[in-house]
Amino acid sequence: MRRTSGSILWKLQAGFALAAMLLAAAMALFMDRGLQSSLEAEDAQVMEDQARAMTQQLATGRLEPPSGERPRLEKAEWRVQDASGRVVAASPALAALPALTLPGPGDPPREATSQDGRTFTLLVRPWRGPAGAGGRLILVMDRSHEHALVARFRRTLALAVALAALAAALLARLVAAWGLAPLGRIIREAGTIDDQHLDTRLAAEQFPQELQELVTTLNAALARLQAAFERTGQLGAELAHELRTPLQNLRSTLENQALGPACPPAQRTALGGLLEDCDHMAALIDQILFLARAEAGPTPLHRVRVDVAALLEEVRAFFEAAAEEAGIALGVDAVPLSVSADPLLLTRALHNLVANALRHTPRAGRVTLGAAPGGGGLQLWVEDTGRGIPPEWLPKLGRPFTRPPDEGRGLGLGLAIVARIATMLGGAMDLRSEVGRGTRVTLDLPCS
Amino acid sequence: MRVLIVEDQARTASELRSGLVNAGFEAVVATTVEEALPLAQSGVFEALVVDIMLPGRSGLELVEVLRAAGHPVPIIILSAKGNLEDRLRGLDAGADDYLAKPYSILEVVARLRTITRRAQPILAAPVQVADLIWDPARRSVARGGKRIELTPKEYALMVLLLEHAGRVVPRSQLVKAVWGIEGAVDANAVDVQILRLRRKVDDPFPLKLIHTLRGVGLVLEPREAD
Repeated sequence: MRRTSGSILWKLQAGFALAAMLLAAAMALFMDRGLQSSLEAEDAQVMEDQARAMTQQLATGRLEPPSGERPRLEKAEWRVQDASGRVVAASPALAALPALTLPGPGDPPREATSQDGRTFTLLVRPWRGPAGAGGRLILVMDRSHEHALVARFRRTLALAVALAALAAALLARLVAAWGLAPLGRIIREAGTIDDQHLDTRLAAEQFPQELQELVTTLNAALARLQAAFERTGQLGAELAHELRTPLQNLRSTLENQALGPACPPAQRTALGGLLEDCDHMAALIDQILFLARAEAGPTPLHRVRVDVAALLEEVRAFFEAAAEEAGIALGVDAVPLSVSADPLLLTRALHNLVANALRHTPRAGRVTLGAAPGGGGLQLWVEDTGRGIPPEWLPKLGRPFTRPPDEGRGLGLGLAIVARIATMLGGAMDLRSEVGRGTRVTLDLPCS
Repeated sequence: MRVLIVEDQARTASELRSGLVNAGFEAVVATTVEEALPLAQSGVFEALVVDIMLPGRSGLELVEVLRAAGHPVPIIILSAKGNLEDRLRGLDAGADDYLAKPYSILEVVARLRTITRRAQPILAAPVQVADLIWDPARRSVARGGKRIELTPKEYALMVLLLEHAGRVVPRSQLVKAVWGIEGAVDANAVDVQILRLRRKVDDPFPLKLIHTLRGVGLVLEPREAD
């Protein structure tokens, strides 16, 4: 299994959500604790106040039960016992004391839970009456309602925590998308750089600080690539010189011998064969150097407005005799169009294609040169009713030194050159073929 | 005609020189721009054949210096780089023609003849080679008194051969004359064109006029058998 380093967007989202959830949970905990302790503190205060008021009343002998001015929840039930434990007076709810352990008379309010699960706060204070009487005052506050309130509050807090996490995740998505947008721009801009545009650089100052180093590194890599390509190109030029100079000497010597007045006819024919070999080698060097130069980087194009139909007609005229001799109908099917292109390159491409087509089309076949708008620009094609190319060879053709094994002469550079010319002109070559039916090679050119 | 060859490679220069001498020119070799400049300025030479890559100053500089001094001497540039930019630079510098290495010496000869031809002789009178008669005014070619019907391309090819009757015409010259194309072309298409002309002009007759010199070109001259 392949390990990937995952998605930044997802990591950011998860991190954001987790952080928001922790923060919200901490706040919820704090609020919960705060609420609970303030409720407890307030209850204790209320009970102390009530106890103080009641002991003062008991000291004067006039006991007035606490009035209903306070909310019921905050009022404690009460019970007054004398020294022997006999109940002197009690609020109705405390006629019978629930089975709870009471705190000592000097203790702060204490919490206790009854057997049926209800929570109470208890407070015990001594009292002293006017006639030397005295005993204990017991206050009991039922806090079950409060607990229900706290529970509701907690549920709300939990919901808030969940919502906060969700909102954070959504926000993280937006922020991350916004933050990653320049990265997308780098990818798009870098994606447009092909071997014809190695001099392109990304403008580092247009990107956020954090990405500037990435852009600078990318630019440096491009510069190194460009330099390497240029070295290859220079090497190509030197290679051309080194190969052509001895070939020139060889050719000149052979030519002078062949044309010499004393040369016997048989030797002249042999020398002629060698001269043809020289020319063949020269053509190969030209083709290889053309491809090498095209690989090495942008080649200056000599673009002019080209009348496409006229160009196709010129190519047809060049091959007219050859086609007639081979019994092949060679025609042009073009709509009047013009394109900005290098006519020498286009001619070279079309010559290669028609020569190929004529070679692979049997007698009584047809080869058509065509042009029409299409594919978002201009399409030029050469179509034949030849024997076709086996499908397994289709994807390989157009690469240098690739040709089907039953193909006689040649290094398979012709189609590679056509493909290269198509890209040099900003387009692409498309090859379609069906065995036994024919082949169609299309040059898709931009409509500039 | 005197030609100055400016080429530093000794063998290349000597082969070119003997080729030009064989073709009836006088030729002198200089190996550097410094050596060539006074010779070219002396006015002795009717044409210059200059290699671009020379030790020290380049052949292009020689052309520029001569042109800046107002020298009209016809110049052919030779280059081993053989790309279009090089060619354009050569012509921009003021050269009259450009040839990429490996060139055919015969091609250099043909170009030299073209660029030094002062006034194109207007051929009006009929030309006869053996039993073939060419009447430029009527655009007709006849053999044994019978007119031969030629397509425009066949006629262009025939005229080129007739104009250089008895001399070898290099293939590249032929491609340029018939199709107006310079540079590499499909050899088969050229061969077929030649074959068809031969079929009309030579096949019915025992005396053959058009002859192929393998690897060199074509020549028009009467010969009994090929």
